[in-house]
Amino acid sequence: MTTEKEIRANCFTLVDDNGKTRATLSMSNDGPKLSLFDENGKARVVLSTFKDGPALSLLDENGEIRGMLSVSEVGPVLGLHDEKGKRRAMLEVFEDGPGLLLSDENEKVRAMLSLDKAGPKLALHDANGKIRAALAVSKDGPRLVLGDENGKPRSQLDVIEGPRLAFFDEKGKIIWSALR
Amino acid sequence: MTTEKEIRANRFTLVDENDKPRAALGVFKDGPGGLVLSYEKGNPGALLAVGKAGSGLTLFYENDTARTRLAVDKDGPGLTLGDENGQIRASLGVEKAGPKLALCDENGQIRARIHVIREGPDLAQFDEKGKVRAGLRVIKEGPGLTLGNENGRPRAALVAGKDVPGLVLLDENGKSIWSAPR
Repeated sequence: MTTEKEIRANCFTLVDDNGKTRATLSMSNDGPKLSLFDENGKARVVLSTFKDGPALSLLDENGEIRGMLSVSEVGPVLGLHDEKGKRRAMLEVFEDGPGLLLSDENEKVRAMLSLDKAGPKLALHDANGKIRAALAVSKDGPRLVLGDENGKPRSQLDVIEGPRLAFFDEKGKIIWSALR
Repeated sequence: MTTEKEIRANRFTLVDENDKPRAALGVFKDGPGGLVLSYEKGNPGALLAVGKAGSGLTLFYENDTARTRLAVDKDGPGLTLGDENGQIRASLGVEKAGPKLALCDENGQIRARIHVIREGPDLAQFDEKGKVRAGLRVIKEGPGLTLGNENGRPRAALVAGKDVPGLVLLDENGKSIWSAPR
């Protein structure tokens, strides 16, 4: 069998023994893409480079995207989705900085580890989006903050000009503290 | 349309309707074999390659700067996300010591890290100088939270050890200056 130096085409199609298409390298209106298909003809892997950026998508047997690694104008993102297509985990680098976000079944962020100009922060949110626990390091120092259902700090352990533990009332007034 | 059993070539080139190359599957000049998908201007958008150092997928955005790389090399599998200057800002990998997620600032300094090592899972937050200022870990003796000063020395520790849970506030020399319950 001869080996060509180069073969050029608008579409390359790989078929299995039954003539089913299992992979294509093709041009779409948006750009080039490589698609891998399962035995039922569903696309399960798509690697593309479109105008808005490149992306690798992994799809389940129902055609739902379950994993996506992409780069767009706002930055690179790894997104993992549940079986309903809801985004449940994201690792991203946007203008503010990098972050890992974990979301509930309503796509509300419930846990976030992030880094911005203020410093690194771990925040845990309740179902209403209020921060109920946060561990952060800022220029002032590190602090652990526990909040109430309104998102107001009610307890704080910090090291800012020395260590301190403080409890606050609903209005933010200190009702008890140790040191400082 | 006919179907060939096998077509052999050094390079398969996908061209658009203007006969412009937009993707190539083949062996590249510098050695590795792989697939590259290109933007309309000809610069690479996605590169899937296998080389001596390992295999990986690299995604680029417009200015030829690698923004994402998913790879397996001698250190293990890993994913990195970079900023527009090419600086790695987030990494997720499985190294010999264990799996690790790290977030880095614009200077490449790790500022937040979660990893699982032999001693247990550990979350650490660092200041700009690389000092650990907050740590949350679960080790054999129990879970614990520590907050440190600018020298990286613990000044507050909340632990739930085998004996009793407790909170200790420490001076600069590591001496307890307040504690509860005793």
